[in-house]
Amino acid sequence: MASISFKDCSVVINSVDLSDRVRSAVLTFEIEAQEVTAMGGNRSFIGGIQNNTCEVTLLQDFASNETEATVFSLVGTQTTVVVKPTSSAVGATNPSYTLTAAYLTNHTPINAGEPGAVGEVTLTFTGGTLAKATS
Amino acid sequence: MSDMSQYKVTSRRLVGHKEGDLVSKSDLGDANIEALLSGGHIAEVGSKSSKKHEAKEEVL
Repeated sequence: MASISFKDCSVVINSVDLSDRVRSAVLTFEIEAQEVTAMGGNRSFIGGIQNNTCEVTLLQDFASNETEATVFSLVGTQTTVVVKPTSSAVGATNPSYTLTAAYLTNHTPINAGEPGAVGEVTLTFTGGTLAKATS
Repeated sequence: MSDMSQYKVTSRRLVGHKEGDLVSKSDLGDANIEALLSGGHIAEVGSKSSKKHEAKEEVL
């Protein structure tokens, strides 16, 4: 029985590998619960539609090919985000999660909360369809 | 930007392609090409005919 410590999480946004900029990645797969409780019964639910989110925090970098240049034009659009536990090849112990048609509402290019703060960008992709692959 | 457009990969970050590769829209799948262009990951090099022309120039 293995445990995992995330040290090499892979994040690809719009086909651009930003893994070496990643501070954190949180992918949430949700299927909305739809209540179908009838009179005389207990609470009962069936699965509705997917309501996924992927929150990624990246180190900010204004150079070409880097964080800001990659992300800025994606605001207000749908894109594809692929997340893996590690940068190794996809496999049973390193599945890939592909969120297609995920919408990026906003982006904070300047996030200087206090003197000396590390520049970071937190992106929240919402919606879309999540698929898991192990090969 | 037509489906015939060709792009030169100008970034080490584009998954599945090396810097300097020539790719078409279909090679980029469902990626947002405008965002890749503005991010400096690819640069438009023109239609297939201009690519052919460039190749000819390189040979010369």
